[in-house]
Amino acid sequence: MRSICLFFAAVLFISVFSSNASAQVASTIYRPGMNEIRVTFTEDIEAITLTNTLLFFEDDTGRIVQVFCDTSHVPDSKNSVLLNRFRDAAAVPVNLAGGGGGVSAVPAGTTRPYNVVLKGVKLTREPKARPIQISVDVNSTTNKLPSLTVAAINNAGTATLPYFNRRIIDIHPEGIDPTVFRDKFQGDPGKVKILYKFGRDDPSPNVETSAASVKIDPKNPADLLIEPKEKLPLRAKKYTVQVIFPAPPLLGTTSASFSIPTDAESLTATTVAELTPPGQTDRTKTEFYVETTFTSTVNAKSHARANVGIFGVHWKPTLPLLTYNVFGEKGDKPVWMAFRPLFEADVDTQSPKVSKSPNRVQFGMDYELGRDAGLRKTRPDGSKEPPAFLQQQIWINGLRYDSDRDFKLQTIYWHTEYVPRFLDFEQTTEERQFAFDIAPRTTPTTSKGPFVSSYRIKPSIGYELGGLVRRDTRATNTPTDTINRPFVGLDLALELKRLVKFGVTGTYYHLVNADRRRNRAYTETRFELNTGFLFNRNFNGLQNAILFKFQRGEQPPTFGPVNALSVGFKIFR
Amino acid sequence: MAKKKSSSNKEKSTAKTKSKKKSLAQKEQIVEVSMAAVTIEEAVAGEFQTPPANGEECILWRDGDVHRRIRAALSEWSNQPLNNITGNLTLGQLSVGTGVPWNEGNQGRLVQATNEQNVFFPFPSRMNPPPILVPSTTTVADWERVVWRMQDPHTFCFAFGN
Repeated sequence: MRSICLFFAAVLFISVFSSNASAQVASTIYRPGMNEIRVTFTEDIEAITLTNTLLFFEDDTGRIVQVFCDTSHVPDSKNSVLLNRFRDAAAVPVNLAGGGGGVSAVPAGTTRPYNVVLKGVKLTREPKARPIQISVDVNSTTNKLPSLTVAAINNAGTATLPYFNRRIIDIHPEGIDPTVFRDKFQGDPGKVKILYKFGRDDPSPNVETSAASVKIDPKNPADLLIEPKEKLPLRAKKYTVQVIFPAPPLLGTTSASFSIPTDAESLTATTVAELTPPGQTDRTKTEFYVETTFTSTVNAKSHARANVGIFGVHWKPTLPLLTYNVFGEKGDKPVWMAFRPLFEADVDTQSPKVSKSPNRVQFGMDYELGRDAGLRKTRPDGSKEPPAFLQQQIWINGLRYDSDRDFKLQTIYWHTEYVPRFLDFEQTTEERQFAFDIAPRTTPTTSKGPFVSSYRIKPSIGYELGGLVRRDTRATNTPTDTINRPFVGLDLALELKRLVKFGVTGTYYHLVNADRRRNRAYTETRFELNTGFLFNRNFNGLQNAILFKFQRGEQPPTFGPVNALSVGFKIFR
Repeated sequence: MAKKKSSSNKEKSTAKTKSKKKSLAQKEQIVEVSMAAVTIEEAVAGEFQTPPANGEECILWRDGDVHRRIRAALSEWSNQPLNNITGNLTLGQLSVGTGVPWNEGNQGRLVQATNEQNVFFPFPSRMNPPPILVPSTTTVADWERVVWRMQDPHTFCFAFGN
């Protein structure tokens, strides 16, 4: 009696203090043929106590029955353990399904949940070891109920992938051949009921619909494809999907060791769906910023200063449906193409005649073709070749419309640009932070991140060919009527402590058909102070910064002189 | 039974296996390799050598062999030791070892690494490249889901994805 009480106390204690297993355990499987339980974790196991694993179940009378077992690592697997050699208190061998010694067999046609408590589990990069409680369902050896597994209706982590077919529910039956379902229900699929059950905090009422068709998966004959009449809804919260097959037509169709009780009304496949609307996922690689500044400009002739406001916007999204990875799948060097629309404006409030600040509005559509160096090759001795210095080559071709602020001077041209990406010429904040986190240290540091939190060196070379489509009668300094200009660009950026960012963008143009001063250049120098810590609010992923910038030189389409010093505010992502 | 246990040194066998897998991958571009041929050439101790036959086997295969090979591909791609790669790391972080930030080309390179690991062995399926660039904030755990979802053709175990 005392030992039973102690066992209960131990179970209670461990149940309370054991961790949330679902976050760490990938699966727990009982293999009846080998009479063993395999527990697989999401990460590798760094440490585990292999003795004193608790294994118990509650029998029909409510009594807790303990089963003893051996726990061992699975050979060649760092993330799983094996429980086997089950025995009762008197060391009599036990089969978890068939029983033995003081353990009764699982009654025919039923399932018994066994609880497992693994002690001292420490997974990779976890701070400390702790007990983990899990359960595993063990079916009876005979008259098992056929199981229906629904393929994941889940776009968590993959929500950005298009084409999740919400008109298909993929079911894998075990115990009944999928052709039986097809034969029984294909003629009248309306008999197969489908329920979408929403949570209490979801205002939507539950939906009851039925199947429009029942087919065998042509790609995988072991699976059934059920087409619901009402497609799977997109919801912010998880919901339950149930596919209910009437049982009577399926009686007597099960394979050996499976059976359906004669009084059963239905066979149900259940899963939890997690289909978040695409709008709630982040759009990758959309460049965006808005900046508004107070600017001081200098007249080149009179050296007189004037104050003016400048407003800038830059928006360059990637069209998700038009981006392809072309050859990465065939073992070749990956090649990709993408379409990137472009909208940029940098305008002030002065008259174009006297304005000495940039006045440019640009629309365009770029087609990007890129080629990656691919994986590093392995030498015959097993070592790796050094990484290629030229990691990626990008060729951009686009059609651009370029005008001044008032759309008085309008140009259209073909823009072609070659952008090489060299090895480690660019590192993002998250890359630098990760490298800092994993760097081996001989002395402890109090710093939470690297001093240089990101940097970029991005050269490019290109050519633009086009012409004026509308001339501005107010300004006369447009150098040429046709556009024929090669250019070289350099984009440099350095961010320190994730707080301040320095950047220089320079473009050098050679105007082939200009009468004089064929070489023009435009440089923009900026200093940004990230103000996320001052305005610590959720702006839907947008960041903000105080901006100082200096613009000097001449830039398309007018090539008018620019000499402006600005201070302002920038919102970006 | 589909499983066999290893008695040899795992590291050595993995290195040998990779070269075998690479040569196999090249062959697969030219001809369809029969399942039997794959089974003989790709026999790797401790891994499923015949396709899983039921749900339990599928889950063991998914959480064992497939999981391990996807992590190995991430390690190969990112030039990071395998024990540095955990489920909550993002692809944007791991790309520090590739020499360029996360972008379409880098994603293609990761797909290439994944297919070189022959992640769906003993099935002859491969991973199709995602039709878009997944965000740099995609975690390793999410990437495992992406790989599973992009399997082509669907394996017998497709329904047992997590």
